[in-house]
Amino acid sequence: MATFTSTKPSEEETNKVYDRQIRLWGADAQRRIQASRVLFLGLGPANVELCKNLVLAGFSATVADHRKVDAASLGYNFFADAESIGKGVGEASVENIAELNPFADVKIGSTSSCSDAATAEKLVEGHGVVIVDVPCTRGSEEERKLINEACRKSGAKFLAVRCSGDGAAAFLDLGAEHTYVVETGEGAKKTTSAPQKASYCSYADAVGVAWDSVKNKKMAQPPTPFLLDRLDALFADRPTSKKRSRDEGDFVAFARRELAARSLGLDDTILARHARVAGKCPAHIAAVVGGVLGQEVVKAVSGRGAPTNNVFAFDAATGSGTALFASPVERAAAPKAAVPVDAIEL
Amino acid sequence: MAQPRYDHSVAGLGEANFEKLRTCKVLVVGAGGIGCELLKNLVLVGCEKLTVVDLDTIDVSNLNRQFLFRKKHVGKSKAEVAGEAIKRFNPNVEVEAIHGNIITNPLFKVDWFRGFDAVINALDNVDARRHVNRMCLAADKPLIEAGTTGFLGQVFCIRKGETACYECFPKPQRVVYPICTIRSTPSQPVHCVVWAKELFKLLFGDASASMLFDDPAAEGEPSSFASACAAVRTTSVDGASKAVGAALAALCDAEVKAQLALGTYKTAKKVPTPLSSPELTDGAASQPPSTITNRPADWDRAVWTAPQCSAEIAEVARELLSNDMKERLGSWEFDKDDEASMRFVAAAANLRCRVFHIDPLSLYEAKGVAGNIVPAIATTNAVVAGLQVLELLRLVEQKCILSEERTSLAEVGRYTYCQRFPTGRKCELLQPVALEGPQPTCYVCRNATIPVALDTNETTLQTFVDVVLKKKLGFIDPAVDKGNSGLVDSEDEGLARNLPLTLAKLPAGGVVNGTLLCVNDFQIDLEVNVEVRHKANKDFDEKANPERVDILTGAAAAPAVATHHDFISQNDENSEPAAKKARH
Ligand SMILES: [Zn+2]
Repeated sequence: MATFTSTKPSEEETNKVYDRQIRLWGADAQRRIQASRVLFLGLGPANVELCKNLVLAGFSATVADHRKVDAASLGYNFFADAESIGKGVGEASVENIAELNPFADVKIGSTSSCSDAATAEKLVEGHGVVIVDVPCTRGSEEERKLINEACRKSGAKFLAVRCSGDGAAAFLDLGAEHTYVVETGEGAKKTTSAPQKASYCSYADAVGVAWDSVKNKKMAQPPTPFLLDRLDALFADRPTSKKRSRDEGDFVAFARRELAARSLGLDDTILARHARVAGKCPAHIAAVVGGVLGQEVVKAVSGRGAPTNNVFAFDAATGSGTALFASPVERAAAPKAAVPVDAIEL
Repeated sequence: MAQPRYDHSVAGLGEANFEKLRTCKVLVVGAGGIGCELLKNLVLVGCEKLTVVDLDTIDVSNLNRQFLFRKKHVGKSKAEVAGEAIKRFNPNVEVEAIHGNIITNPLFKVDWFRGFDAVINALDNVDARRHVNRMCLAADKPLIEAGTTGFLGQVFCIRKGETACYECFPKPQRVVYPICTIRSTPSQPVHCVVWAKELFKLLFGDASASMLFDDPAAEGEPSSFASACAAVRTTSVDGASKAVGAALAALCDAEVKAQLALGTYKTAKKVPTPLSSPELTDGAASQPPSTITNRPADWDRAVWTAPQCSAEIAEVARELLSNDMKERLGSWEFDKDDEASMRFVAAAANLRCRVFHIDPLSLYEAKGVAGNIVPAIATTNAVVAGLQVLELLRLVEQKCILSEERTSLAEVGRYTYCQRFPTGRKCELLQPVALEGPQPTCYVCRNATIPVALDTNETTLQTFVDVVLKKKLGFIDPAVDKGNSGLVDSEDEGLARNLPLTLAKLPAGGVVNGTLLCVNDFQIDLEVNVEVRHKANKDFDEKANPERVDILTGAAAAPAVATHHDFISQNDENSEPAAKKARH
């Protein structure tokens, strides 16, 4: 297996490269980041962006993808090029990923599927974070649950994200007991809270809740990207005999049925559009999702700031990115309302 | 049929709209943190006609987020390296990369802006944003603006007559610290850092331009440190420690004592304490922290002792006085990325803090303050650059551009905030809100008259042009008329003699309370009316407003907001030396 590591850099050298982010999240967070390795399962649009963001920040990476590079993937995977069409995605990308940051260690991981707890544990071993780019893995919901359980056992943070042309949904599981501090104020006035604890439910529990419960106050029904993600999961896992094709009509009819069974509904135009763009995620949507989730991973690993508990949904049509709660247990405390701030001297 | 590499874009846009996007001529201003992300997104989604402008070169501290750059590119043009990198991502792309200043380069006229279908800003400073805003209004092109600070960011669109422009709302102004605060009554670390930069200038730069310089021809006693400071520059490398020790003793001991004796601090809340002269003079001969072998990696995070500061300043003096550096004496300008000048400023600011009972800063902290360093990370840049392209696609899909129809951006544009934590009742991390319309008070997009209050008997026309028109209102080459008579015009040499006159004494009856002036700038295609109001100098609060000018409306009316990014002699990050002030 190819591994790309450079000679061990001096801390003074890394301090220079990471200066602008150390000024933001501090030296301790930076050390934790540099000591952490992320497993990227499926180098799809979301994971290409996440991989770029996290390797730049100083994380080491393992990338695993069972697919071969095809022409369409060049629309989002800038780590590969036309010459690598036909090669394994991991092999074609690893060198350019490693080049992003000579201080990060980047390698290719196993692409075999997990059929039981033991293989899942083996896969996850050695990683502080595991991110599944759902449409670009072979895995079913069952396999994701196995991988998530292995993460809960080893203490690794788990993310599953599905990105499409009309938005994305992501599940986060940072474990039954995630500890973090909250910082308020800036510069000399910065104060750090005492350690706080947040409890995340498992992926199995999160995807098992009634869809209609996954909404914030005053929402008539859950945000569209969340519903589309759940529909995609069901559609992908339906019995093979029915998996003849995936044409527009098929998906729309299927989705309508599943939604109606839960007393929910989405516009046919939304469903028809989703049938066309599911699994087709242009780079800029992946960039938005990969940026937001990259930040969540930094929060999770550094233990600074409350990470989203436990769903993020991005709707490209409205531009809204929402934090949601999908869990069988009660939400601890409602997030405090805040007004938009102009962060910058624009 | 579009190429297979565009499958993901075409699926959402459809062939017809994709073709528009593919041939859409896009100008990207800035190839830094946001720019790298933006360029990558644009070429991947299929924009094949790109122009990118940036005046900066690549620094090692860019590498944690500006992912098109590698260590081997340090020192090279951002625009050019970025242009090459994105061609590898998509070989179909035609990219014109221009290493140049968007504000001052004569190539970038209004007509040049007219050649694009959309303009996207990826900038990090107010001056360039203001300029591109004006050019896009003049050329009637949509502008997609974005900015980030740390975890926070925002994205929005601007179009003439349809939305608020960049200057419709007040912007924080650069703070100017009164000289007396810097020279006599510092109360914050930033005041001491400014003082340290002025001291650097006094010792090694253009001494007479330093705030600490005493004109030998002026009346009154010269300050007790003047001769000791002047002596540093003329000494030899071997004499550096001694000369530095003497200068620091004069600055931090003798001068403080002299001021105390004069009663300068009689009514002050905090009274300074002189440092011990022997500690400084002996310290200058001791080992400076930067030369310790096997120093720990975080040596720059530690707060140096007074003798260590003295030693560090002596070390910098030895470096700058050495034979191979001698030529530059008298022309040094502070640069946070120049190690010697940064070490000097950190050490001198530390000593100054000690005198005034302010917690001293480490080199690392002083660099953040002195260099106007805004923390920056890849993730926030990735988000806003993604949202900018989302907006561009919307402009195409909603027929705002490249269409016979012209849908107003007021109907389809959005202003999106990127939050660090779920915000509002919808718990949003990405929070879109409707765009505001053009603001009636805006002098840039609504031709509102700008009332300006100043002392017409004391202010010269030159000051009016430099401070009010250029600095505060962002004109580049303004011509000023009063009725039919011209007062200022850089093309008309005859008018130059007006510049030293005070406003009230100008020809054609003078510029007095109630005079309406017409200010015109062909370079940015902007004409505004300025209404002059007389306000005597004594009626200004000198501390809050040392320039003694009130702009009473619109974007320029904002009160000065003191932030650590904005203060005297500080421009945007990386912009030193001063000649590089205007970016991109
Ligand atoms: Zn305006």
